[in-house]
Amino acid sequence: MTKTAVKNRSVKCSSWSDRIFGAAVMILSIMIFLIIAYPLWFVVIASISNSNLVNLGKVTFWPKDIRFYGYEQILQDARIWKGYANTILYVVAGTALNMVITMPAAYALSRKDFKARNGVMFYFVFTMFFSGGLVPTYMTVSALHLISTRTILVVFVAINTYNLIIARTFIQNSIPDDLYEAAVLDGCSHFTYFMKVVLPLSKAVISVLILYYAVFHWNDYFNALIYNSKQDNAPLQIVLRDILLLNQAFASGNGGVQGGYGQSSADQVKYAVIIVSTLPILCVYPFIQKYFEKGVMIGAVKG
Amino acid sequence: MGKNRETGETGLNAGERMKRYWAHNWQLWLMLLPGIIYIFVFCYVPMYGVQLAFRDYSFTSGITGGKWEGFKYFRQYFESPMFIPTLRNTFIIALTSIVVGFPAPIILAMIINQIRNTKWKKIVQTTVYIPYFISVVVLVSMINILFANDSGVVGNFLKAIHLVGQDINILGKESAFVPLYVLTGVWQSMGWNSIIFIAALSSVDTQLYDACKIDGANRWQTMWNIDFPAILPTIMILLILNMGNILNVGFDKVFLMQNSLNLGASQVISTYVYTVGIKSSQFSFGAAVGLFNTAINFVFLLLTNYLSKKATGTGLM
Amino acid sequence: MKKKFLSVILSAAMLAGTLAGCGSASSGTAGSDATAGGSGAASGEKTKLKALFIAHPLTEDVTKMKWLQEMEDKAGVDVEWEVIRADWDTVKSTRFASGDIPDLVFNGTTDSDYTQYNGLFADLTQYINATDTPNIQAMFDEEPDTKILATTPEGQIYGLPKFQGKWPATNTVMFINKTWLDNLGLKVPTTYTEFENVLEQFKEKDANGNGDPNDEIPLDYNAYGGNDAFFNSAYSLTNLIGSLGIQTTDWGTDAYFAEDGKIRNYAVDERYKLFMKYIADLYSKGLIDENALTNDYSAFQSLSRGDESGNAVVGCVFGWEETDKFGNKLSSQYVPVPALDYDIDCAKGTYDTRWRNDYTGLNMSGNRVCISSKCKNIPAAMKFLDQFYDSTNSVQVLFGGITDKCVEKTGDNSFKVCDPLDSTVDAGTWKWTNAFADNGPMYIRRDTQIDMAPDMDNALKERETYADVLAKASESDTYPQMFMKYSADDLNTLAVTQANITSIIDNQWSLWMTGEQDIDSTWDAYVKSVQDAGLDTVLQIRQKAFDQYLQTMKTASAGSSASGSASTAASN
Repeated sequence: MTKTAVKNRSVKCSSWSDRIFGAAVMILSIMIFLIIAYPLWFVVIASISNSNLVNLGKVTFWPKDIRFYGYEQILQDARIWKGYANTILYVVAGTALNMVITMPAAYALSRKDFKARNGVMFYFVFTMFFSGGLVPTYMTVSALHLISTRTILVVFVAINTYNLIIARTFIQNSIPDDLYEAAVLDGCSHFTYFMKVVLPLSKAVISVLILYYAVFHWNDYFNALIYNSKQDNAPLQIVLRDILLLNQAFASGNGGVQGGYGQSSADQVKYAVIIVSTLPILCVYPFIQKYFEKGVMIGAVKG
Repeated sequence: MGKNRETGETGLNAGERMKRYWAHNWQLWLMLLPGIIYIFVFCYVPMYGVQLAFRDYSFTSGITGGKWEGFKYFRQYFESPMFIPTLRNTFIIALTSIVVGFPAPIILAMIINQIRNTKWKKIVQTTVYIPYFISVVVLVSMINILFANDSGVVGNFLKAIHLVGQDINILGKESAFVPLYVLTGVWQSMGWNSIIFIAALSSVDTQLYDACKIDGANRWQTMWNIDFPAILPTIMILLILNMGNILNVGFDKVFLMQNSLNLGASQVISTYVYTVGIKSSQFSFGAAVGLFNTAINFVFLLLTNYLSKKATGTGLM
Repeated sequence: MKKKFLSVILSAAMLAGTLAGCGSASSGTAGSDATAGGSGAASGEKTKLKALFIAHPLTEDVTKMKWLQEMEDKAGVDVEWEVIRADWDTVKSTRFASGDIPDLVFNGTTDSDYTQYNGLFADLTQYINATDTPNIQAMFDEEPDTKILATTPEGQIYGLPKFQGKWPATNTVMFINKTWLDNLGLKVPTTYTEFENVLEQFKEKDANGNGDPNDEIPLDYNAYGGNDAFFNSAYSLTNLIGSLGIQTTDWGTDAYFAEDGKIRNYAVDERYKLFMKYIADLYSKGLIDENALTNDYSAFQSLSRGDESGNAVVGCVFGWEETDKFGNKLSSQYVPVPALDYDIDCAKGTYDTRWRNDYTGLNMSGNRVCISSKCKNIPAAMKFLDQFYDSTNSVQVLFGGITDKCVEKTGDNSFKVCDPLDSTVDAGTWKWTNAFADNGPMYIRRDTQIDMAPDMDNALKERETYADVLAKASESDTYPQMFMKYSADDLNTLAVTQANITSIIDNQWSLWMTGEQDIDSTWDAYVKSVQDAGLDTVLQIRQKAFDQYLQTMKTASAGSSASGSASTAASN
C-alpha cells in the first residue's frame, strides 16, 4: 500500500522534470552525433571523389566524380595482407602480454595495506616523465639483440603506466574492502582473491584496457619504424604509410615527380587509408562494449 | 623499498619482522615483478641519456663522454627571444585544452549513460569514438578544407549562424588558432576519452539507483548525487595525469596547422625545437629543452596530486 | 584533451627530436654485426657488402633493377640492400648514434652528420685517384665544384657528390594564362605596373569566359608547409624579389643572398619593404589568392587544374613545368612570364632585374653515398661506387637501365630516354620507379647527349625566357649555401639564432600582406627585432664561410669553366 504510494509519487514527479531531462539528453546526443558524424562522412566521400574537387571544397555532402583509385592502390598492394597478418599478431600477443603484466600489478598497487605501494607507484610514474631518450633506448634494445625481431614489437611497452593507474584506480574504488576481509577469513591468499574475486568484478576495466592496449598496438607506427627494419615484420601502419607516401604528390619541386602524376586521385589514398586501417579495429568495439554496458543496463532496466 | 616502514609492531627483531613482511607480501611483490623488471630494463637503464642536456654530444666518446657544458643549452633557450612566446603559447594551448577538453568526455559519458533508447545509445557510443582513429595529417587536411575561406562548408555554416564574424579567415586568424586547435582536438578525442568514464559508470552499484528512486529523486538529481561521485576518483586521477602532461602539446598537429599568419599563437616549444634542429640536429639543445619541459610537467603533476589528495582524498601516490 | 593513452609513447616520440642522439661508440655492440662479410672471402669470390638506400617513396625494389645488378657484377661485389622510403630523419639519429649502419649509406647523410658522428664514416680521400676510381676522379677534375662540395673544412671527403648537368638554371617559371590575356585583349606584362593592371583585369572581368566574372583567381602561390615557406618554397611570391635587383641562389634559403661578395638578408632590406608594399597592395585589391596561406602543396596543385567543368581558374602562378602544373588539358593556355621590371614610383630600370639561379642546387648535391668506417673492404666498395660515376651508368642511375628498357643508347655518348613501359604513368614517375634517379650518385658529363622526355624538354624551353636575366649573376652575387662549411659550434649558433629570426620574419610578411599591420609604421621595430634576434652574428658566420668558399673557388677553378656554370647551363 505505502509502497505503491511512494512509487506513484515518484512516477508523477519524474514525469514532469524527468521528461524535460530526457528531452535534453536526446537533443544533446543528436547534436553531438551530428557534429561527430559529418566529418566522418566527409572522410568516406573524400575517399571516393576526385581529389581536385575535394581540395577546392566542392565536395560537401555527396561524392563527386566517383572513382576508387585510392582503394585500388591500397588493396592491390601485396604487402597489405602481410601487414594485416603481422598487425593482428602484434595486437593479440602484445595485448595478452600487457594484460598479464598490468592487471596483477594494478591489483598489488590497489592494496591499501601494501605499504610500499606509494614508492612503487613513484617508480612507475617517474618513467612517464623522465626518459633517457630514443638513442639509449635503442641501444638497450640492440644490446638485447631484439632489433628487427617480432619479439620487440610484441614486448615493447609491455606495461603502460597510464593504463596501470587506471586499472589500479578502478580496482581500488569499485571493489569493496569487505570482500577482501571476508576472503581472508576464508583463507584466501592474494593470488586466489585476485583470480576469484578481483578479475571477475573488473570486467569493465579489463575491457577498457584491452581496448586501449589493442588500439595502441594496432596504431603503433613509431616503434615499428624505429625498432624494425625488416620488411617481413612490418605491421599494417608501416605498409600504409609507404603506400600513402608513394601516392602523395611530392612538394620539393625538383622536377619530375609531380609531372601529370594522378593529381586528381592522389589524395584519395590519404582518406582511403583511414578507412582501410580503421574498419577492422572498429569491429572489436561492440564486443568489448557489452562488458561495460551490463552494470548500467541493469540499473536502467530496474529504473 | 618501504620495507622498514612495514609493521608497527615492536619487540620483534629485524629478521623476524622481515619474515612476517614477506609472508604477508611476497605475492604482491611477485605480481609487481614483471612490470618492475620491464620498466627497469626499458626505462631506467637508458636513463643515463638524460645527462646529454648538460653535455656536448660526441659520437666517439658517447653520451657520457662529451664535453660537460653545464647549463649552456638551458641558457641558450632561456635567453632566446622565443623563450617567453613559446612558453606562453604552449601554456595557453595546454590550459585551454584542459579547461575545455577535460570536462567534455565526462559530460559525454554522463549523457550517453542517460540515453534510454538502447539502439540509439549504441549508435552514439560507437560513432563518437571513431574520430580517434583519424590520423593527424588527415585531420589537418580536413580542417583546411572544411574551414577554408569561402569554400569551407563548416566555416560557412559557422558564419551563417553568426558564431564567427563574416569577414574572418578562420584558418589565418591568429586569435582563431587556439579555439580551432582545441575544439578539433575535443572533436577527435572526446569519444575515446569518454570510454573510461562510461566503464566507471557501469560499475555503479544499482541498488543506489533504487534507493534514490524511493527517495523521490529525479534523474538529474540521481545523476548528480550518485553517478558523479562514483566516477569522481577516476576524474581526479585523470586530471592529475593531464596536468602532469601540460607542456606536452603534441607536435604534429600544431606543426601541421601552423601558417605564417597564426605563427604568433602557434609557435610552441616542440615546434621551436624542431625549427632549431631542422638543418642540423641539435641533440643537446633538444635534450635541454626536453628536460626543462619534463621538469615543469613533473612539478604540475606533484602539485595537482597534492591538491587532489587534500580536497578529495584521491591521488596517484 | 590529448590522447592521454599514448602519452608515454608519444612523449618518447617527441623526445626523438630532443633527447635523441645519445650514442656510445665504445659499447660497439650494435655495429659489430652490421658489417658482416668483407675482404676475408677467398679470392675470386665476390665481396659481400651491405647497403642502405634512402629511396624516394616511388622507387621499387632495387634488386629488380638490372642495371644495378650489372654494376655489382662488374665491380665483383654482392650487395645486400636495405631500402628505407619513409621517415628516415626520425630513424637516422638512432641508427647513427648507436653505430648501427651497414657498409654503404646512399642518400642518408648531411654535412653536419660527419661532425656530429665523427668517426662513424670513412674518410675517402686516400681512395680516390685516377687508377682506382677513374670516374670519380674525372668528376672532381672536370667539375671542381663537386670536389669543393664534398670536401670538409679539414680536407676530408666523407660523402660523394653527384653532378647531373642537364637540369635547368632555375627551378621556377612564372606562368600566366595567355588565353585569358587574349580574351581581354591584353599583353604579357613586363613591369610591376603592367602586372598589377593585368591582375586587376583578371579579377574584374570574366577572363575564362564561363559567364561568372568572380571565379577567377588572379595570382596564386605556395607558402605553406612550415619552415619559413614564404622564403623557402620554390613557388612562393618571393620569386618576384629579383625585380628589385636581389639575386637569390638555390631557392634563396631563409632570404640570404650575396651582393658584391657581401652576405645579406633581404628580409631586412629596404627593397623588401618596397616589395611587401606592392604585395600588400595587390592583396588588398583581392588579386592574390587568400587561401594560398593555408593551402598545402596538393591543394595548391589542385587549384591550377581548373574547376569541375574544366575551366582554368588561376591567372598567374609559379610552377616547374606546364603539364606538371596545369595538367594536359589546360597546359596549352599558359605561357611563361619574363622577369618583371620594378617601376613603382620610379623609372623602369632603376633596379637591375634578376631571376633566381638554382643551377647548382638542381644539378649538384653532396652526400649521395658514404662508407662506414667499419667497412672491411673499402677499396672494393669504392670500386663499386666508382661504377655509378661511369658515363653510361650515370645515365642509368638517373633514368633507369638500358636492359630494363628505360634508356636507349643511340650513340657513343648519346642516349634516349624511352617512353614508360607502363603507359599509365608519366616520365617522371617512371624514372623514380626504376632508377635511383636524383637520389643516386652519378656524374652526367656535360657533353653527354640525352634525349629526354617531353616534360623535361618543355621545362628547358620555358626557361629560355629567363636566360638573359640569369646570365647577369656574377660570382660575387651567387650564394650557393650548400657549399658553405661550418664548425659544430657555428652550426649550433646558426641553428638556434636562425630559428629565432625565422619566427619573426615568417610571421611578419603575412601580417603585412593581409593588412593586419601597416608596413611603414612597423618596419623599424621589425628590423630591430630581427637584429636583436642575432642577425648580425649569423651574417658574420655566413660571411666567413662565403669568403672561404670564394677563396677555394679561386684556387680550384684556375683553368676551369666551373665558375660560370650558371650561364653555360642556361644555354644547355
